[in-house]
Amino acid sequence: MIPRAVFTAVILFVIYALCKPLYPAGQSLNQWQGNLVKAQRFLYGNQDQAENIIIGSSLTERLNMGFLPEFYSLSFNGLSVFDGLTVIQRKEHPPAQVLIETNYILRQEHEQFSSTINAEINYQIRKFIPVLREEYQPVVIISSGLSDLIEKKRGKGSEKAEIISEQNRPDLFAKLLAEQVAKNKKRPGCELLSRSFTKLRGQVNNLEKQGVTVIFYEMPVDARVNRLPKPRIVRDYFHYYFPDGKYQFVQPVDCNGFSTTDGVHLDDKSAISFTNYFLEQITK
Amino acid sequence: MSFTSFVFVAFLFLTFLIYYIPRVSKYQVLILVSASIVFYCYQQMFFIILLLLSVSINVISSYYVVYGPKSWKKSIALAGVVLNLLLLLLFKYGPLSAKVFFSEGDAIGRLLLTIPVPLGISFSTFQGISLVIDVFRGRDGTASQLVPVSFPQHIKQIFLYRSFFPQLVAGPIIRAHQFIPQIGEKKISDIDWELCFKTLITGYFLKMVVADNLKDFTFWITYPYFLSQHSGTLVFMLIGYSCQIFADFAGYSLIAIGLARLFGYRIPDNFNFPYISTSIKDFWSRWHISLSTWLRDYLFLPTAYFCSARMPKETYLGIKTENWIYLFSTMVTFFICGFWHGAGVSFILWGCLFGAGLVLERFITTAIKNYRKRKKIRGAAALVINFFNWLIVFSFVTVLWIFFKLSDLKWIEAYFRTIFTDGKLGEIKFIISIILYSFPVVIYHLVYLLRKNYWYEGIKKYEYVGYGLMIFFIVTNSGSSISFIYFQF
Repeated sequence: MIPRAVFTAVILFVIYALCKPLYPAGQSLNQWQGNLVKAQRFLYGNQDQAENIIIGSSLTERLNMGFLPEFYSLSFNGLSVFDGLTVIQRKEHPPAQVLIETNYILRQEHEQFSSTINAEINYQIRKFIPVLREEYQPVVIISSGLSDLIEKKRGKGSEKAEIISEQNRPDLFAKLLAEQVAKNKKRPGCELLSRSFTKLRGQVNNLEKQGVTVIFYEMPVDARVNRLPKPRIVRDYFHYYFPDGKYQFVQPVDCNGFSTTDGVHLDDKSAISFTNYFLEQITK
Repeated sequence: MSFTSFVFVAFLFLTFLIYYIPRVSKYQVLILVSASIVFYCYQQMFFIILLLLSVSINVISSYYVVYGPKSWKKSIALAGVVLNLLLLLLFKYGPLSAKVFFSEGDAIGRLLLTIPVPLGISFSTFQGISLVIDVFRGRDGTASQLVPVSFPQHIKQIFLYRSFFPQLVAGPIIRAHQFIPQIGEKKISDIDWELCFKTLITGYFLKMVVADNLKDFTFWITYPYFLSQHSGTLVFMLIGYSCQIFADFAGYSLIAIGLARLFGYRIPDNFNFPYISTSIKDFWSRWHISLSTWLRDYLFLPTAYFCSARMPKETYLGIKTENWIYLFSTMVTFFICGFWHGAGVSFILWGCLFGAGLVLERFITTAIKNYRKRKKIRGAAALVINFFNWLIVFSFVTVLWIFFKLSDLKWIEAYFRTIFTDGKLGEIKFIISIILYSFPVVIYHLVYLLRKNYWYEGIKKYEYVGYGLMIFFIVTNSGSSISFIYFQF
């Protein structure tokens, strides 16, 4: 029974691998998978031409990349800039320019994510056997195909999670904003600050040694969050660890002109507006 | 060291090789104990001291219960149980005690808050307690069978019983009389490879493909993020979580059983297709069997006996004494069951609701049974009734799992309010993905249900295709590995 089962698995795998050209690429089913797909496409894909990399958290994920064709985004939902830096370090060819989001710098590297990216056996296997990458998982392909089919039959797109704004769901927005206010009201500990900034400075120095230009930028958030102690202290630390004359910063915007879905993530309109400003500043 | 990591595979391979070297076969117990200590230290180095202390308590108390002065037996057994419980209370419920009994600035309170929960302490403590009680009662095999005269031999046996790495972290909670008699020299030729293969493949498939993928969808059962989801998505996330928790824990249990088999030890089943249950009582005889039987034997029955010996057989408020006793014993047992799962109000409430469900079911089923007998309901009608029973039980169990995800009652209320007020289906791709990943759990139960059909034997010939498929999915479609859910308990 055992040899027959193993043989069946091998046959299935060979057939599956041979059919790879038929599979749609770049699909993912959830946030975690989306992050991995993005990282793997950067690592294994033909991204050596991507000379300008943007790294950040879900805040940066809101940037409209359609306006930034020269840039590759390594912003990950729920993760930190350190995860983006992990991915860049894994790549043999360093980019020319790296833009680093400053907002969530105190969020630590995600152990599970970095171990998935750095595990040598997994890395090599996926490099040489592409069907083992997240985007080609059988369930990803089946689920994407089935949902497309159903949506076509229904004649309408599916109802995605509601996009919250202060206007359409004031009650829920208030709860989400309160959550963010509570998080940002607390002063971060000195040990965490110094650990995070020392680590970031080390990684930035390494990039610069490889000839990479590093530029920092801050994503706008709700003005009520922006003026709280945590973002203010983080900003001060940035200017202490990365002095203005020595490091480049994108001029921060006035947050009052932007609206968010939960206090920190820009809504579509504000995201486009900030993307334009961002592009304008970078190309200056 | 997770069962799904490369490090564990290397550890297992090495232990297996050394274990079956013929020249060292007489040291097999020591090899397994050493391997188990390495396994534990890899995860929580510091707490190995606690494990050793806890095992030592069991070694000494169980030995002296059997071979100590007769007049002291009860006191020694009691001390053994109390010390085991104290360790559990201090380490698992320390933070809760700090919040309840100490003020915010109190030094002891602050110390208690910093104590992390040692891995597997709940499972391990229950094993320790059962050993002392079984030896004291002298049932389930004579006490001297479990406790040899030779103290060094006893130490070896108890250390292996308490620290055996396949079931060290999250059970199954094996009893001394099930395990200790098996201790002895094992031969590689005695391994039932096919059984090990089937058990391990099914276990790894349930964990790596089903549970580890579903967790990335059910992740959104988090306050306040679920508030922006639609009704359909919320319902499917709940069903998905129900399947995830089953796949995670049943998967772990199967892996533990398969690994133990590789080393020549039989661990009893911990799950018996619980989602086919048509009553809550039936569910608890199929779900986490080792815990439910432990609670039955060491808590429910003693409580019930204690009460029945002291209460006259009468009727109070129109309810017979035996029903009052059942109600009380069930509620106490499930209160403890909830508390065992976690030191929080949500876990206690989860347990109490199960207890209340069982009590209610007892009264209802008696009435229904009488009705079915009177009306002679058989055939299709009985099938329909069974289906509705199943639906009620599955829904009840699934709804109650939310207490494992949301710790605040207000959030739980908000979750269900959103389900009932939103009225939209939600993102199709998200829902289909949950259905696809939950589907193996349905198949797993269906295969069991249909096994008695005449055509099942014909299909069984091709079961290797099923196992081949599972291997294929483990290789191509595993989710990101996280700890097993029950590790936190």
